[in-house]
Amino acid sequence: MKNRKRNGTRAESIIDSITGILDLPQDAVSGYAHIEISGNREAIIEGCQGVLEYNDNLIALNTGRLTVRICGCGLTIISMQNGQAIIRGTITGVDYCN
Amino acid sequence: MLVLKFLRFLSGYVSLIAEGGFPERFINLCRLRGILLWELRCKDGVITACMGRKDYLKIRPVAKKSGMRVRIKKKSGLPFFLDRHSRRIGVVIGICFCVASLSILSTRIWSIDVSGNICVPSEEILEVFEELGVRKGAAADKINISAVENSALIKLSDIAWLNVNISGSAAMIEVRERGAADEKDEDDTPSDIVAARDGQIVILRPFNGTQEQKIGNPVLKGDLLISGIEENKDLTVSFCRAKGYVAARTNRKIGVSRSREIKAEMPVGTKKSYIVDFLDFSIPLGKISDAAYREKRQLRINGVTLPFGFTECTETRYAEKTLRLTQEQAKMLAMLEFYEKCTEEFRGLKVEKHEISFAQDEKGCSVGGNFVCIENIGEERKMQIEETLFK
Repeated sequence: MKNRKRNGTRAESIIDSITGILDLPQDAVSGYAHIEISGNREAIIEGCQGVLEYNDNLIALNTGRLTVRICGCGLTIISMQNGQAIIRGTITGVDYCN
Repeated sequence: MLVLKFLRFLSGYVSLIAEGGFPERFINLCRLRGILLWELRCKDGVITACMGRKDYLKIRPVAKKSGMRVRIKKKSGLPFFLDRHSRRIGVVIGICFCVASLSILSTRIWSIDVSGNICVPSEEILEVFEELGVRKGAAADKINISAVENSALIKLSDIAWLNVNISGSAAMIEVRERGAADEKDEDDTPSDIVAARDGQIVILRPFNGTQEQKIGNPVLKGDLLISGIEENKDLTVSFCRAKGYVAARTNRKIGVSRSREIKAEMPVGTKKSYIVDFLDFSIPLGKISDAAYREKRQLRINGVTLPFGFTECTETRYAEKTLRLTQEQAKMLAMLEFYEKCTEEFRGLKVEKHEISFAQDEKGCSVGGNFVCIENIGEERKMQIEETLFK
């Protein structure tokens, strides 16, 4: 188990270094989410795999390698389709957790 | 976004409220089963969201697994609207009638306006165009405008130019009338100019023919003024149509007498009735006589003439009564009649002197006038020539 985890982190570090050398976008190769934020009103998260927490002030989304936590007030998921979530409301912060 | 909203309206959607379980699990299960949610809001464990009409039928297992109780807040969209109103036959018929009316009437002519005519009445022009197919209710796209214009020009001899414009459902006919200059007087029948009244010649201008009188000559009615017989240099004669202007000083008398007792037709009652007009069709509401005065009114909205209208028919009944006028009224009527007669008589001539006398008694009053005028007394008279003269 420990070995598999070590192998996983090694593979990730190799992919990170390759994308760094080849100057490729991180979200295309490394499996990171692509997040676009327009002002503090709207966020578009691509690569969303599920909702972990949802209430008026916090939305936590599973994006694979990271958990994205969007804080704010009056948050609404406008649509969630094909791994893309559009969140609207007053966004006060974005946190990332492993 | 507007297109998306419209498409969602067409396919129908429901606003739902889900509560009492695990909202996140509910959202994730919906995502996994391909159930699209939008306008998703979660507050205190209560989800409000919208989903497609067909997706709602698949929500039961998802709700069961996530422990949520789902209920519909609102049904929106065209399928729900049609379901709600499918039993209202009147509404369905009304919508069908409205769509059919719009699609049929929008291709038809609703109104025809004629402009630019002074002497030729609009009714005459409209009658010709009706014969050629330009009438209320005719299909606008089936009218061959250039052919109609040409045919109408041939039929309307007093019109020099015309143009037909069809704009939407309104047809406008613009015309230019043929002026006096356009009329060609090609009649060359030999004729003389003779005096139409007794008088003394003051102006004599022969344009064609032989002058027979001199300025200052007194003439009687029928006297020859300009002859249509011209003598050639070889002493032969030729005939022509005499033309010229002959003005003479003439005397005219005008008299009017008015009795104090007059018979007049007095209105004793009016009856109004209406006719409903739709395009070229008329539906009379009641019995209407031909003698009734008709006033047509077309409905207009924002300057657009609609195909609907009504005609107000006013029928006035008169009864003959004998009235006795006061002396003032009789005088006024006599003067009015006198001036009307003068206006009619002295049109186109100049009055040099005038004397007006007025007499009044118990039976009535009379107005008389002596006038010295300068007027054109030349009158054309065709010559009586036997055919053998031309052979």
